Amino acid sequence: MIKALFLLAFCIPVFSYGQKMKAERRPQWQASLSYHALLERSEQQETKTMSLPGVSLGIRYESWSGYFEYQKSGVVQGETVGSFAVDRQVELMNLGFGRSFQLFRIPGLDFNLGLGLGALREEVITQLFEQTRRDESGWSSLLFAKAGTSYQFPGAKFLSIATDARLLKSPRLDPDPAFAFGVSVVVNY
Amino acid sequence: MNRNQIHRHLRYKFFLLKSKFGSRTCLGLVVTFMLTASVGCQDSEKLHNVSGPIRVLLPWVEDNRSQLVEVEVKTISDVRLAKGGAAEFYLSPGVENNRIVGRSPRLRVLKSKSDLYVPQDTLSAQVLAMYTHIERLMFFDNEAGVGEVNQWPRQVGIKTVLIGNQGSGNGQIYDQAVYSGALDAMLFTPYIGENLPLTMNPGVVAHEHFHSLFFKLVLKPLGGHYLRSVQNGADGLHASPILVERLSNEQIYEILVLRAINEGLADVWGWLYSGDVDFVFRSLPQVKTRLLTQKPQKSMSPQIIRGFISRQKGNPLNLEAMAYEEGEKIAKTIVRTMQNLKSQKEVSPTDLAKIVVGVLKQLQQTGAKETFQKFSFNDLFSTFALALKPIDPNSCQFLVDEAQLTKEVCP
Repeated sequence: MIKALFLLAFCIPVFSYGQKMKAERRPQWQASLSYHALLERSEQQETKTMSLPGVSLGIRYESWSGYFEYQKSGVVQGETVGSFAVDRQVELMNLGFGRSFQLFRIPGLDFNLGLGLGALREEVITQLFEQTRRDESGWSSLLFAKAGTSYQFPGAKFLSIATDARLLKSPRLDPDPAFAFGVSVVVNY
Repeated sequence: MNRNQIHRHLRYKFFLLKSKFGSRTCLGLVVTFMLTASVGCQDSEKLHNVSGPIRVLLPWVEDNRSQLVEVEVKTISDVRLAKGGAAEFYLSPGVENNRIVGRSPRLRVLKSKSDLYVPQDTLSAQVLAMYTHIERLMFFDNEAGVGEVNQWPRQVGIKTVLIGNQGSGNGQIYDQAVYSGALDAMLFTPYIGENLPLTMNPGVVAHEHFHSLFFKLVLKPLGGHYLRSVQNGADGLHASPILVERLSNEQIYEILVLRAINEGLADVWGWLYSGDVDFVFRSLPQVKTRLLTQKPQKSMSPQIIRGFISRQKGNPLNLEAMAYEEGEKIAKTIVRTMQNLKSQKEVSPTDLAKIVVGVLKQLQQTGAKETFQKFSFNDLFSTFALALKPIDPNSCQFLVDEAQLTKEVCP
């Protein structure tokens, strides 16, 4: 259901006659703080969310943008069975590219589509009685497609807020592809 | 549509996209599509297709304590589904047409830089620990000469929901492991204790695995009333009090004696595989009587058992508890005798397992001739002494002293 909604959100603007955004004709630096919820399979084999706070730094020129993003979850506590427990942490580095479209005639509101590639690393903390041990994987590849909206405040053009939904593809993710959605606060310079 | 037509069609679609969105966007889309496809086709971090031995980090009982150890797994072919030649797992399974059914759990496993597979949650660790123990039990069975008795891969239910009159609250049973002869599967209920989960306890896994050997070598060939009782769950007498009412005292005697022998020898198998004399206590500290090095009390005579059955026929739980108590005595007697043998001679766990297999085969022969309604625990110890004789004829005296038996037990 979620994947279908995402595809719908992705396809409608692509095949609609979206008007290109009339952006300033000079490069604009962008920094953002984000919070994403990644949907993944739980131990009960159901869907659970993992929180992924992140920061990004990018550049925008006309309707095009490119950015580098770093996301790291907190230590997620897993279920405990008897004296045994496993916690885990996920770290992502993404390089993304996007293009904005102005779908509606609302000043400051635009719609954007993006694609990107990145890397993902996981860490596992295993505990048995008093013994604790940390293991981490190497970096593995990740690809994503995203669709979102952003709104630039008319009174404060250096500030905008954005929401997006992503489909991430990596053999490390379960399910693969996995779905994530989130919000971010962007500072434009 | 032939290949040329497909190419032409794709070129036309690309042209349409290009005219709509511009060449840079289209090129980006195509490149990303190709990259996505290439990542999608990657071997998923070698989790789906594993060949050859892999190292897995698991809770393991070593040097008489539970610790995290890197162990080798040889037969697993898909780590994410724990599939391989040794075992198949079902999460909270059901039963359909006398078969275990359900979905396989999907595991989360990390492959570290040093090629170590590390479970990322407790379910994955439990399943992989059980797979590893069952694999080793498969090799152990082969060495002991009973590798052909079972069909492999073995079927295992994890987080099995069992409802019974032993359960608490809604009747769900926790902290239990059972072998079902009718399903030919091991079933583990959720563990809510605070110690080593039953699924990670090598002695418990070996104990339940032994029940499959006992079922196929001793119980199944008995057929008739006995098998019907077992298949209806009456091997656990508590499960069917109505059925117990219908059985004669002699039938109940047979079930109880065989149940005690089954439980006793399963404990011995658990010790032989794990080397742990206190494996039950490791997961269930409330069970204090299963320390296998404790000196056993004298086993009940047939007359005492029959008297007990007459008094307790209406209390199947008490009957079953009696079978367990007698089983503990058998296990303690045999383990202490084997430990004594080990202290005098260099014998491996496999050599000792062969003695147990000798006992099973002897019991099979007995069952082929007559019912176990006249079989006593003394007869069992005689069978054990007979199987022990080729290795050490002098061990029988120790057995006689341990179990407070008469010398006639020794062949």
